[in-house]
Amino acid sequence: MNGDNLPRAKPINLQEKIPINYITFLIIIVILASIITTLVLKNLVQHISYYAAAYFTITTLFDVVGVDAAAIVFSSLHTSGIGFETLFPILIADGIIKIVILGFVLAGVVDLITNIHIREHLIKFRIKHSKEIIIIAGYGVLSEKLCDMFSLKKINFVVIDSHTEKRDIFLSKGYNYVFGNFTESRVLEEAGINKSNTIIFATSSDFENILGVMVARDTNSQIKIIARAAEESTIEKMHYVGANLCVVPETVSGFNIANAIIKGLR
Amino acid sequence: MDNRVIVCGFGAVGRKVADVLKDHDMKVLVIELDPFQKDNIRELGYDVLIGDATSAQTLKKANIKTARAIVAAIDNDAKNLFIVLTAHQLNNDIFIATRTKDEMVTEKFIEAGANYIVNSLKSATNEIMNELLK
Repeated sequence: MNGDNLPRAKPINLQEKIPINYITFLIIIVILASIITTLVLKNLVQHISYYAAAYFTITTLFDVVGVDAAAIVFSSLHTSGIGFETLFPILIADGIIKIVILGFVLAGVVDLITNIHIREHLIKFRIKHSKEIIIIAGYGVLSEKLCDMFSLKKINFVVIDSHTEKRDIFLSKGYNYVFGNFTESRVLEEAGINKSNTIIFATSSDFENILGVMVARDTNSQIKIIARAAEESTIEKMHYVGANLCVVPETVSGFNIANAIIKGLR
Repeated sequence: MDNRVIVCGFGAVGRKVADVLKDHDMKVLVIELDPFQKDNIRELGYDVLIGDATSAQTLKKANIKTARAIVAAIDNDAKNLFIVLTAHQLNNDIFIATRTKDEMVTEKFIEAGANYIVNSLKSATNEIMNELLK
């Protein structure tokens, strides 16, 4: 296509790199903040030990139940001449820690949600538990019309297509979909061919449709198979490989027009 | 008026129309743009006129004034619309049938004077729905 001579940019696998570094980074921030705050506190309120300073830091920063830094500052106020300004570093560190922890938790939750693939599981569930479901293999102009009609009549269906760009269309219309090549029995099974009573092959290519018919008939000998063809000469072949009905849209139109003329001129 | 029907365009639709009409003993004249189809059409038993069906001149040559019906079966909605308009102008009484791909333009065809309009996809959908609801 374009830029065959340009050096290919190495694809960065963000999925694997960022989380580990990010987590390490967050942990380092938390530890550093804790240590610095402890030291600052020890420095400012000198009569307490390092252990006490650490204790008060941790309880403040991590909201652990116990005596927090404010208490120790207040108790030392009139004895060591320190003021509320000693709380300042702890408050800043507290803010940082909270944001970091919150961000970390949020990121984890978002990651979990996006990895659940709710929609795909919902579709699988629907396919499994619908009483009657029609499979439409190939999403073209004819399929679009069929799907509109099915939606109108509240008939359950699932669309199979190999072009993932159509995902947006399916999402916006709320259709059940399976991405894959319908000439593979695995894909047909995923779409529920073993429990469906009808499958319709509606791509614009007779070759693809007829291959789909063969695989479908092979996988489920009872299912009703409807296929679209572009030429009348394909009809016989379709029936031979197991289609119950073969529709040639143009032929149907021609037939209707001719009939209208014959009736109209009687 | 004789029992003559003019079929514009010898594609899948035009072909089928011609076949069925012939089976019912109607005379068919095919207007087709592609000169290489001439022999093929003639062999199938139809009169053929090579020319542009959207042109009034061609339609006059096809004796549209005495034909009973005309079918605009070209693979292009705009051209079919033109044929409908021209045919209606030249012969007010003729029965005009046409095919269309886009449902939105059906109204225009009716305004232009078409008596019968088919949408291939709609026909196919209906046939499939009928089979499913059996």
